Amino acid sequence: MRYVVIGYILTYGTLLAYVAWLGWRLRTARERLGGDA
Amino acid sequence: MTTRGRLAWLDVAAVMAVVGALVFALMSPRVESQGDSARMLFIHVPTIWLAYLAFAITFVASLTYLVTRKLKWDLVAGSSAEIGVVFTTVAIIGGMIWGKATWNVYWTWDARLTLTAVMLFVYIGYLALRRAIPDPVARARRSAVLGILGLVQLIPVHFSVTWWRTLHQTNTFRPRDIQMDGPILAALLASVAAFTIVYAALLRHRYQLAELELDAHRAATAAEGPVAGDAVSAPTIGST
Repeated sequence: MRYVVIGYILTYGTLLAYVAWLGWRLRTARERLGGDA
Repeated sequence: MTTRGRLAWLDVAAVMAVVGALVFALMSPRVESQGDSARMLFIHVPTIWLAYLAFAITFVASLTYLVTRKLKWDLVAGSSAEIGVVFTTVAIIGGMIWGKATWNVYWTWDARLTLTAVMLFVYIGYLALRRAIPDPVARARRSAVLGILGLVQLIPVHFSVTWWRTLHQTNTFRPRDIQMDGPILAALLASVAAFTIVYAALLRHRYQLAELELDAHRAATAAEGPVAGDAVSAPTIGST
């Protein structure tokens, strides 16, 4: 069970980290263009 | 209503689908032969399926770009490849942990594992190539070639477990030979569906980012003023 918990945390954690990084890049790109695209 | 507003339901659907798939995965019956570690099936199979799908979309979009020369297809190809790299990484990490639980090793130079790692590095190279070429048209043309060639390796990756004797088990889901109990199959299909919706939502946002990056590049180029070669007009999104 220990490996399952670690596997799920790493899988969903990596996906959440990517979502956060993508969101940050989107926000930055919109700010750089000076408006909501 | 804006495009963002119309498609916001996709983000909500992705979150709901992931929660639903998690519930299915946790409620599924225990597999006697592997114990609880078999629950890794519900994240490992969907993530590698999504990697295949993402790279297949990159292939189709690259091919479409070369035929139509519309830059939006290059943006789709690049966006899908980035998401494919994320899902391949997740599939390898999940597979390593499942391997430790069942084989007692995180990694072995098995044909499936090695070819999947090679596939990951090829698509990291594809993303590096895209970053190395600032001109959108040159980038689109060159990366389209790699986006098309890259798909060829998916065939040995997928069939490696049947072509060679491997430690990795044979393909889990064979439509003509399903050897899974109903609840486990239902949980697996729910996870595959959920991750597919997540992919669609991610692709939409990554495509928006690619459009913004292209706009920023055009604004920066315009600010620099005319340079030699400006008489040749570059293709734009949605035009030939």
